[in-house]
Amino acid sequence: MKSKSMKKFLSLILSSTMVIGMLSGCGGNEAADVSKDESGATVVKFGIHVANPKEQEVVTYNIVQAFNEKYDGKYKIEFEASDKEAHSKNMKLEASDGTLPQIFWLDASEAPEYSDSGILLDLTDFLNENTEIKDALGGMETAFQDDNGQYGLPYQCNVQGIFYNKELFDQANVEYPTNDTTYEEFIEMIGKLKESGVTPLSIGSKNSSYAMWEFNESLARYGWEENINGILDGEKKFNNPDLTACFEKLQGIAEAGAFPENMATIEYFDAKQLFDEGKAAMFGTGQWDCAEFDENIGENIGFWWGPKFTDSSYEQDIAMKVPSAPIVVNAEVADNDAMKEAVYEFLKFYYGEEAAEISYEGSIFPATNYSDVSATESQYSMNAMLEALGTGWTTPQSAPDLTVTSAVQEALYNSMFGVMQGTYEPSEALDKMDEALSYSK
Amino acid sequence: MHWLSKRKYKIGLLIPTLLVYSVFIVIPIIIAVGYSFTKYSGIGKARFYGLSNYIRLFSDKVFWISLKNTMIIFVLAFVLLLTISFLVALLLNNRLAGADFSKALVFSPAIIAPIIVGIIWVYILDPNIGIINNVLDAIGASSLKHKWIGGEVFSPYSIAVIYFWQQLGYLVTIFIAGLKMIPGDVLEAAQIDGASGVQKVRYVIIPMMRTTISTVSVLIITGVFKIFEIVQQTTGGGPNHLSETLVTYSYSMTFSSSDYGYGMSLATFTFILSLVITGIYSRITREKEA
Amino acid sequence: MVSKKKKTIMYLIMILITLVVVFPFLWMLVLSFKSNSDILSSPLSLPKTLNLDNYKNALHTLDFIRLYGNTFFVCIISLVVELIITFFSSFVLARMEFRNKKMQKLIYGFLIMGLSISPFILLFPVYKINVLLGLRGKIALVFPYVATSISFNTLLLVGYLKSLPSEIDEAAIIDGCGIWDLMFRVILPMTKPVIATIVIFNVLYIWNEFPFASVMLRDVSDYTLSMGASFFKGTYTVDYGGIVASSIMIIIPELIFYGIFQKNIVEGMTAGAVKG
Repeated sequence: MKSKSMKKFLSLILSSTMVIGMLSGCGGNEAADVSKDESGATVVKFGIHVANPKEQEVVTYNIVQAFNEKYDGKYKIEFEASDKEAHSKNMKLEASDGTLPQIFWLDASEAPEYSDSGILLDLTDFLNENTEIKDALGGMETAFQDDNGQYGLPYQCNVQGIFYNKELFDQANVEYPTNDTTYEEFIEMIGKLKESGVTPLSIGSKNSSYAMWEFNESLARYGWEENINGILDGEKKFNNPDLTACFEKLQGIAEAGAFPENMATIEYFDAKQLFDEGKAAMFGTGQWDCAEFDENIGENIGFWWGPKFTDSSYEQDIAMKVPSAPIVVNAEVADNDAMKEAVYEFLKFYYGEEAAEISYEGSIFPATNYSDVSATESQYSMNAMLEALGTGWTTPQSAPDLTVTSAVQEALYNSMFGVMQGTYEPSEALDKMDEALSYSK
Repeated sequence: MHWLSKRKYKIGLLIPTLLVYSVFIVIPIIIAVGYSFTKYSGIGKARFYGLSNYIRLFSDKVFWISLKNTMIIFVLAFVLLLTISFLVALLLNNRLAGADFSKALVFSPAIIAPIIVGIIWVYILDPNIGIINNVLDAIGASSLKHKWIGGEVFSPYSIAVIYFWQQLGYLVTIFIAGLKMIPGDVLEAAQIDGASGVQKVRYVIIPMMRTTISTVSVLIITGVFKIFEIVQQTTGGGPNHLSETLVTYSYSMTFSSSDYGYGMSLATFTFILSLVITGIYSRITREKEA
Repeated sequence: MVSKKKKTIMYLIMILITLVVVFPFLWMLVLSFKSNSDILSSPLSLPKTLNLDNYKNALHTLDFIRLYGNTFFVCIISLVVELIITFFSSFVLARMEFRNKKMQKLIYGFLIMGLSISPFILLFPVYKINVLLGLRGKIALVFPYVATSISFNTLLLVGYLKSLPSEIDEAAIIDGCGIWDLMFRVILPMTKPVIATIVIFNVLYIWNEFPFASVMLRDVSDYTLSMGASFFKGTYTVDYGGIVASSIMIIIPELIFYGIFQKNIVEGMTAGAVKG
């Protein structure tokens, strides 16, 4: 009895779904035509990782505006904008059905997978045709090369480290950190700052574990770049003496009371707010926050790469000036000359001198380097960074956290914050990264 | 009546619903379950992975933590919601001036987007900027301060409380509707027989509200296993996945770690668990009725 | 009768419960008048003046007319479709005779099962199915919304329709009604309260729904209300004041809508969820 009704029931379901199957069979693929706007300009879609670029990615928005104005009636860039989480989902979905925008921003940890599945355009030709851009990038582009060629170009250039508020240091009677400040001195510094009643180093982990930029420097100073390939190939483990020593330092910083008590329930934005308002003495971030600090802290801002580690045998004179996430081009663009022309024109503009100027005005380091372009005097934070860069130290090819795939990256973030929040012991945290790596294969 | 129940009518009228339901619910579930047997980052091609994702579940500490948290929320929310919403319904069903107004206000949390519910409660529970700890400080009871969210212990309990707040009015409304169905003469008869208030509830009201109680229970059970935004907004699953629930952990694996296959095996587990609990519940209540 | 003392206690409890429930709202209203930095740095302080900057900012950033327009558009189409189809199917399940009772139960259980599905399982597959069917933009939201409402609607409608006495059908048939007359002229008018409940819950659901909207909608011109908050949260910036103020502007019409239809909810629930 039961099986009979089950059968009937299933056949009912099956027949319903078949109808839909037939319906969907009718919808064929439309040929991909170049879309034009009313003025006849070729429209290029640019997928970006914020919902409101006008407010949230001002520099890119301005560059696009300038481009659209310059090529009015000929080319037009339109944003396809959604917040980072949605953007990452959307790009994956669109990759599966061939509706990707012509140009789009990708997270550096995800881009290699896109490249492997052959949906990104190799930009080697573009760089060879435009040698001045290749020169201006000065090697930055090598971070986004694999067997398939130049699959992306750096969206911007990230300079990451610790910003500090000189006024709070003065109040606590603490010397400003220097290029040679060691970890031991840093711990002492934290103690004094805490005594003076401020949060020494502001940080937040809720939904923002990616906000660990200042510790990329620490990872680099414990030989991340030297060892990562061996680890990824399985010759070594994350749980090794170097990284254990590095994570022990994180633990030490936490135990010295550097972080806000509620770091688990505040986001990166809230942590930054503490720094903006003079309630925290230091904050780790990158150049994207410069404009905000100019407004809130002004000339009291300082910039520091972070502590040096005397127990590490690796290079300590390391700066962190690295390509940020790549922007990539949809491989389908190559099938259409008009579209390809428009996309290349935009890239030329984006990596040109005019765009670099717009970038500097907005306190963002462009990926390119043109000697005539620089910051003005009132861009205090930007100038503090330029001063730190003046040491001419070497810099890694990419930021440590961007050298691994998303699953391992997530584990790295989780492990670092685990140690900082006291939930993991250093070796336990590193084991979790090894575990994540083993599952990602 | 008989002649209207022709097969062609039945099938014709059922098909549209079954069609939409199958295409947009059932097939997606089948696809998702299918992916749980693969390794898939969301880009490119999925690779068959056998039962590995499910085997991984059992050795994954975070999975057990999120299962534990989900069960804490489930038990707490179930007990609190079922009893208190019933009592509040009894109270508001009395002819009190302003009861209608109160009903409307109590219901109101159920209509706000869960994301906003999460945001509101952050400002209440956060250990530093939340109102509870700040008030405790202000009245000199700092020793009572806790990390209501974001610590290692209290998060799931706090989430159960938030969920309770959000659902209370909704369930009260259903209970009030149930109370209205009880014929007045039955209660009067009980009154005449000298039943006390408690006795009336115990021997008359509860037995007559079986269907209502089971509807409410099913809504609570299925609801708890869908809680997402509240956790995401208050703790984001942190610190270090300690306040993760099954749904948020599945989300984090799927979208933050780009491990679609593993994320879907978590989702499948959650779905089956919710079905099983609902099944057990209806089995128990049916036996009682029999 | 209830004694006076008892009544006082009841009032006190009622007021207390109401206050506890309403408090978070009031707190949010207070926050909406504070600046972004005051919200974080001095959480307990009350706003010194009635600062409307957050509201101005929200109105400036969000195109509320379009957001409301899109939301209504999706709402209305989804509601019409789901009411028609679930009314049909529930009519069959509740009032038609099945020789095979198990079959009837099976279909009912099958449709109710959807209550326990978290939308996140469905996101990717549903997107792909929409693409396959050529559904894009706002319209792509309709079927997912209809599909996710089927379980709840079936629960309420079947429960209600079962509770109507079967003599109604018999009388109608004797009067010479066909099946369509019976459904639309006789039964449908009696179903009003439960339909009202369904409308209210589904409007609120669609109003608040975020996961599907964030995946299916690409063009800003298609955005529904629930997407509003994402405008205030960038990768490196967040505007809490803007989020709170825009939330309040989204909640208030909901509260009004609920206030108007409040009576129907209890009636519909009485009929649908409670009997059965």
